[in-house]
Amino acid sequence: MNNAMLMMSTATKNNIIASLDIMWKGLLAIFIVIGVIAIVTFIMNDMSANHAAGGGIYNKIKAHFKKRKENKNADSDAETEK
Amino acid sequence: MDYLLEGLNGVTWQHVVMWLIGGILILLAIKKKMEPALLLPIGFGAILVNIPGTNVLGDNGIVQWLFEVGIEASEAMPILLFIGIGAMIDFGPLLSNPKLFLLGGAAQFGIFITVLLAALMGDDIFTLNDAASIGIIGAADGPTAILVAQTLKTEYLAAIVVVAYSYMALVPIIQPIVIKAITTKKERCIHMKYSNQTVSKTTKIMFPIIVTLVAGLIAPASLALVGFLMFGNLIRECGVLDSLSETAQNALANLITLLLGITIAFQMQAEKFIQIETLIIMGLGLFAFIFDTVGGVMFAKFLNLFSKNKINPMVGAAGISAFPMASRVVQKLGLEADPSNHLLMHAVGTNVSGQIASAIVGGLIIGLVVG
Repeated sequence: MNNAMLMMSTATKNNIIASLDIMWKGLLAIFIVIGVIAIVTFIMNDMSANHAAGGGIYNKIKAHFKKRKENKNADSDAETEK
Repeated sequence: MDYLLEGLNGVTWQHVVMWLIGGILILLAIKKKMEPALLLPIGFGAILVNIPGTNVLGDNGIVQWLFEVGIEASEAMPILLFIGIGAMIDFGPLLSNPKLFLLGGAAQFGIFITVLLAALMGDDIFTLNDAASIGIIGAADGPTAILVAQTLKTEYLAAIVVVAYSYMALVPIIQPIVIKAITTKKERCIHMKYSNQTVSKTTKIMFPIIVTLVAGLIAPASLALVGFLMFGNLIRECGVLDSLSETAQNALANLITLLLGITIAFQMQAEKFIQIETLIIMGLGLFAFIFDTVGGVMFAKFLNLFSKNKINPMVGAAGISAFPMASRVVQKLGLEADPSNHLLMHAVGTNVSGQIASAIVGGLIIGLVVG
């Protein structure tokens, strides 16, 4: 191994080191990117499933504003009757 | 009469060899149906550019102009082709089982190992840019290979493209041998459950936007490819641009494919193509495909160490970006091992994940080499 390394030109040694550098950085980066995308996809699927089942934050916000509107309408009806 | 013999007088044995190579590519495209959309134009183009003294090359030559405008200036052709490819892909099977993303990433392993191997050949044979361009054959994706090779200004663009497309067509031959060598029959018989989860339209619309943002922020050099791939997919999934989606999948993809092959042939001039390095690239390309398969399968086995629901390791091999051949290979091998073992949807999910991963890796390679 050492003899092989000694026989190589400087440019070749630099290229080998650079390609090892590319390998570890590239593999790390692809797994980070893919991992982030996978996690975001999990979350989106989860939110969709919750929403379809009537749960989820969007439905809660909708329900809150619907209740507020109903209360407001009830109050204005009561005032009108008076 | 001399003016009639000018062309003939300029013919060398290298030109004749290129005519034969062009003829072989055309034969493979027609008789064996190996990637005919690319190999036939490349084969014909190889004949076209190796007839001496013609006006297809030179400053006003049409093939040279196509190359300078369509590829050299901004790699427009392969990037625009990705709009069509994105419009053709259904990410549903992948989105319903997101862990398949990881297999798509693992199946790009062959790219990096091939870069190292090409670098080991020595700087007098392949520079770092050449090595990186050769490694990208393992992306098993024509536009990515063209983009990376052109951006890194390798002189082996034509050889890389021909080798990449040839091995993509040979996936049904290469992969089964490798898969059977590194898996046991018991592993090939592993059944995988199908998820009942349907993917919402909102998720399908948000997915291309999120992938673009994530890939662009973490791997900016990949954004041209990934962004246009996702743009095509967004046109497909939004549901309000059916005519544009149809155009992207058919007219745009076909038009660019039509021109791309003959444009690439610009690099198939005899003096650039007939060299010992072309043969070495063929060997390295095969190595890349083999190690992509190994990477995907071995990673699936690694995940099985931690996973209660086992993944059939063969599904990892579908992470190679050769769509849909790789997923069909896995389905076929699954049925061979056990006639009740249907792996197609898992394989398709992994296969499309490989499409995204290969585009990202292409950009990463450019960024890491140039940077």
